[in-house]
Amino acid sequence: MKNKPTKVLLLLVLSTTFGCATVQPWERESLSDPIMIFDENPIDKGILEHHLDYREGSVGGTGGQSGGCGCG
Amino acid sequence: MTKQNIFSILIFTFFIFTNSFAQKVGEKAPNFIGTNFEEQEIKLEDFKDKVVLIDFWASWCSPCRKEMPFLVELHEKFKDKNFEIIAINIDQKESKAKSFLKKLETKPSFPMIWDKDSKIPPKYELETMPTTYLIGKNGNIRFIHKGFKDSYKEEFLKELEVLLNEK
Repeated sequence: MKNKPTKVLLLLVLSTTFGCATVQPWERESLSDPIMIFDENPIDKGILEHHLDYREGSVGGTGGQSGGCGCG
Repeated sequence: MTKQNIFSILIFTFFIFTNSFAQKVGEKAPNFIGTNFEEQEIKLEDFKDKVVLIDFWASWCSPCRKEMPFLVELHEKFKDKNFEIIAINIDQKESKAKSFLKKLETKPSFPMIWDKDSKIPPKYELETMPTTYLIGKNGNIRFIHKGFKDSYKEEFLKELEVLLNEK
């Protein structure tokens, strides 16, 4: 590799092509499962958050409605 | 390599990875063929000259579940006015979709495609679930709703009136 800009460019191109994959909205069935909630008792946490949301008027403040379907 | 070349490649790379190819307002709605839960064929082109609402939904998607009773209501109100809804369900298990539909107070009477292999969503390049497309009588996409909120209901009604009054 002769010059610095070429190296930087190559690095940039490689960094954008590896390691990332977009999960399409129609592929998020498994992600939306409550089991994907990062907690020991995901279902209990869902219920707790639901109560908290309505008590505090903060729906959506704690993230998605379920595991991570990213539903609009 | 000149600075100009480097800049061009950077711009090209940026657009390759960020450009959205989603269907846009004004474009022709891509045709699709699917089957309902009873394995009867449903095609978009069968609804030519009608105002069509295409809704992509799944039982695992919370706003989709919220939207469905509204769509049923909308269909009941406008079905005699050259209006049709095609709901495209992308649940992998038929039982999950059916179990949700069973719980609805009023059952949908509009065509419902079960697209278990998600072959139709890539044609529309959905960006979120649910996405609802309002197709004009000429087959062009006229309005797109991403997600669902109660405040969208008013918008849907206004947009539908515009489309139904067009020749």
